[in-house]
Order: sequence, then structure tokens, then C-alpha cells
Amino acid sequence: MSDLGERIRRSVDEVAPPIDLDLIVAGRADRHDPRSFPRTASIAGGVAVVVATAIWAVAAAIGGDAPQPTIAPAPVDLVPAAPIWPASVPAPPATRVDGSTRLEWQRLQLPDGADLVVDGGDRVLAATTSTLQRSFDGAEWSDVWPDLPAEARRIAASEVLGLADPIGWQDVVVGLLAGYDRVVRIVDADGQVHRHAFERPVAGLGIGPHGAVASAAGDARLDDAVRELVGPAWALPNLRSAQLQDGLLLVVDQQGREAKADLREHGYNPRALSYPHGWYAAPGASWTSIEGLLGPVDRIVGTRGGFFGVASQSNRADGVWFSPDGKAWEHLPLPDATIEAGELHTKTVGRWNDGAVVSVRTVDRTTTHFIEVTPEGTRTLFTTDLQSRVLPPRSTAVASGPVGILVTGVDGRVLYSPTGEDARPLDPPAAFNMPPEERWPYWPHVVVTGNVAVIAGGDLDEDFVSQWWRLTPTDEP
Amino acid sequence: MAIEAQEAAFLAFARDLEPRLRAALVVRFGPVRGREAAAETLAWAWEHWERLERVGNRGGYLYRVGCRRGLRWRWSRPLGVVAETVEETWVEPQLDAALASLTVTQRQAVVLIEAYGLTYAEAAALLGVSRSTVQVHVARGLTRLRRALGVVSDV
Repeated sequence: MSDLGERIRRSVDEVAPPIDLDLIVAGRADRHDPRSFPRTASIAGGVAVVVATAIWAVAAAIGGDAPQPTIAPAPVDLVPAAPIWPASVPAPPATRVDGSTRLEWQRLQLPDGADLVVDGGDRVLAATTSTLQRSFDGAEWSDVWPDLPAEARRIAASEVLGLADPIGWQDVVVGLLAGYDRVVRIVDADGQVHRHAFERPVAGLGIGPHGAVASAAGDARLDDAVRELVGPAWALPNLRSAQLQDGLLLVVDQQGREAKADLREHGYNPRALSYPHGWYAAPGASWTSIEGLLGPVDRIVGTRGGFFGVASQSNRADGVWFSPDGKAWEHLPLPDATIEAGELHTKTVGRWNDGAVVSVRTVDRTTTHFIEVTPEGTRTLFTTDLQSRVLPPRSTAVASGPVGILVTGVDGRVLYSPTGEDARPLDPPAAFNMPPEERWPYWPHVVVTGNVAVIAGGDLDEDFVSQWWRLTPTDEP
Repeated sequence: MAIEAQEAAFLAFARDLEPRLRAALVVRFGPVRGREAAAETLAWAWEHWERLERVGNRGGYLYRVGCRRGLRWRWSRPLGVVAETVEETWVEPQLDAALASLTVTQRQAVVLIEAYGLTYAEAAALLGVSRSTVQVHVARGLTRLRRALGVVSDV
């Protein structure tokens, strides 16, 4: 190594010391110790912080030999709905799309300094460090808060930028504060910020004309299962430990007595028990609890027809949860034909007209069904062998709106359906082409559909700068 | 594969990759952000190790994952927690300034080849560019670097 190279290496190692790989491996200690599952590891500044969220091991923290009483959750009164965002911006005119419509990809120029793009339902929102802008076509942009003083705009914009994977409805944005799994912010159409810290991690967030909805974690379902299978005295707070592995439940009480039960044999979905199921709704500025346990929903969209939620982490397709107002929920089963197709996982949900389109994938990943969900029920739109990319809870590889349904696949293919009745392959923008083995982490998210545009984003040019494109129907033959 | 064997395979791979991945990302994103991106990428790699084992160019693949992490970095934490000034505290201010005069690609190529001893082919695979591109960037980068540092011979 040259002297210059040695100086550079020493300098790099000095300012950015080697990473402790043993700490990284320790972040997956759950593979050795099922009681610690699930865990997430966050490495910062050379220090690994392992956060254990073993919600079923609650008893381990309870000292003493005497059984503790079960603590029932305190009831929360519902607050009457009081919308915090007016429909101040008129909806753009609808674009007629039919099977003969010609489509074109066009490279988009985001507003200068745009760091974040948010799906606003019928519009695109782009946040910069100084403001939030909206666009209905991806080309013309206008300020969301034109009347706010510059400093107030900057503060509100920074609140949006501080969200992890935010979602929006018209000019309102909601999301989890980045780095925090319980703190939710709503930045409303006036630039006002509403914050709320939930008692448990939030798994699913949805927003639409009726307000915002969050699903938060709880362990009451597991508690119910343990008491039903093992006995009423075996409530979680009374136990020394409770382990759940491969569907097998092992509980130990304070006296050291053990009990085992196979949850699957008794009709329980083990993953559903440990995933979020508590619900909160925000028709107004204050969040309120929703009575009842509605399933482990982690993906939610809001449309004019109501809210639609699915459990993408579940090991089985649990159907779709629907609520016209965010407060009263009902379960909509999948179409019979889809269920008959075999074991399924529900993976994505997107807005589609006043309802939603849900993708359900077979366990062997060979077939994906796209299902329309409306308050009246569900029906299969089309079926494909394309594997849609599964993204973090508040992102999606399936975009849908008046212009059609667009799906990006892990193999680089794009599928487009203008009406929902069938789907056709679509050539993606050339810039998104990559060797197949390198595609999957970078394949663009389909983030937005508006009335006149479908927009996808990616990080695929050689400098890894995000690219944004719109799929535009034209009237030309 | 048993977990112990997986762990051993991952650690062998990661120990080899870590210095060059960290360097490439630090050069691109700065010490704090780059190292953070490298750490998160390696944690991600361990999480997805079973899947990664099937990928051919794992180093290049993870470099791209790291770039994505680096680009998203400031969105992934509350604003204002890490001051921008923290990032640029190199040991040799003169060296830092000289390196800063290079383009990102030149900087990465020079650091990987000169400081971390990668071959042109290895650097090309990591950065996802051709071997000849690396050669050109190294040559131009070194010329500019030597000029900036007043180095006549670096042997």
C-alpha cells in the first residue's frame, strides 16, 4: 500500500472505526433464544442497541411468587367525529381510461429540493426542507401552505420530513415519527401538527376522507388463548414466562410448573396472536380507542368508501377488514375462487375507486390474485404469475387509482390494468432495467396514483438518485 | 444449514467486506452517515443472509443497499439530532480537503484501490461499474489528489 493510501486508510478508520460484527450477529440472538423473538437491531455510533419486544414474556418482569391479577385495559370513551381537514382543494377532473388508451412514461422533475414524496390519494405531495408542495399531474406543483409565514412552513415541512414512510390524503400527511414506533404525527392541511404517543407500537396506519386509523399492538389475544387452552389461572401477568415457537406455546407459572399447547391444533394462528390488533381512530385531532379486536392488520388505506385493512405479516390470508368510518369494523372474506386456489398470504392493499384492491399471493409465490374490495364484498379482478414486491408496511408495490392499477414485480416486470378487469405487461422505463439478481432491493416503489398520473420512484440510476416517472395516458392512437 | 454454520459463514464474509464497504460509504456519505449506513447494511445482510447466499456479487449488492440506506439516512431519525458539522471531522484536514476536491466516484475508486488494496476488478464489482471505469477514475483521482497535496511521489 502506498503512503498516500496508508494515510487515507488511517484517516477513514479514525473517523469511522471498524464495525463490531459480533454485535450485529448478536442482534439476531432470537435465532438462539426463541423467547427474545422478535427483535430489531439498531446500530448507532458504534453502539448496538438491541430492543427486545417479546410481548408475551411479560411475566418475566414481574417479581415475587404471588400470582398477579390480570389487568384489564381501561375503557376509553369514543369522541364524536370532527374532521380536521376540509376538502379545501377541489378534486381534479377525472380522466377517462379505456382499453385503447395509449400510455407513456415520462421523466418527472420534482420540485427543487424535494426529499420525500407522499401518496396523497388524488395527488402527489413533495416535501422539501422549506415547504410541502402538491401536484395532480406530477408536473405542475403548488404550495400546500401558501398563507403560512416562511418559518412556519419550514417547521411544518420538517415535521413531514421527520416521518418514516408517511402516507397522505389530499393535503394531510400522517406517519410515525422516524425512529419511534409509537409516536404518530398528523400534519394537517393548514400546516398544523398533531402528535400522539401510543402506549404500544403502531403497526398499521391509514388515512382517508374519514380521518386516520392506527392499529397498535397488544397481548390480550395471546392472553385469551393461554387462559382458554391452559386454564383461567394462567393469565399472562401470573406467569413467569410464556414462549411461542413454531406454533407451540410453553408457559411457566411462578411456581415453576409448565404447560404446553399446540396453538394450531386448537385453531389459533400463532402469528396473529403476537401481532397488533388493538385499534385507534382519529376522526378528530384526538385519537380514540376502538372497541373490539379486529385482527392483526398492518396495512390500511382510506378511501371515500371507508377504510380497508389487511394483515400482510400473517401466515394466511385473513380476508379484509372494512370500516365505513374507522370506528365500526367488519371482516370481509376472500372470494371463494381465490380461497380454493390454495394457501394464501395477503400482501398489499391500495386505493381503488371508492374501495380497495388487495393482492393475495399463494404460499409458493407462483400466483398473485388481485381482488377488488368494496363495502358490498370482494371479487377477483385478475390473476398473474407476477410477484409483487413486498415493501415496508406503509409502502406498496401496487398503486391504483382512476388511471388504473399498476404493479411492480420483483423480476422487473410491470403489470398494468386500466379498468381492473384484466392486466397487461408494460415495458418499464429503460432506466429501471437492471440485472435480475440485483433488482429486488431497488425496484421502484409505486407510490402514487392521481386522477391523471401513475408515478413510480426508484434509486436505479448510476448515481442512486431517485427517479420519478409518471405513466400518462394520451388520447393519441 | 445450522445456525452456527450460518453465523460462521456470515462472519467470514462480513469481516472481508466490512472495511471496503465502510470505506466506500464513508467516502460517499461522510464518516457518520457512511459508517451508519455500513452498519445498517451489515445488520440487514445478517437478517437476510439465507437469501443473500444465493446472490452472486454480494459485495456490490450490499454496496447498493448501503447507498440506499445512506440516501434515506436523514429521513430515518429526528431532524437536528446529528449536527452536520459532526460529519466532517477528518484526522487530516488537508487530506479531507484534497479528497473533497475529487468526484464521488474518483474518491471511492482511489480509496478502495489505494487505501484498501482492492484490485480494479474487485472495486469494479463492489461499485457496480466496469473495470476500465475504475482505472480511469483512479488515474484522474490520484492526479488531482497528488496535485492538491503537493505529493511528488507516494511510494
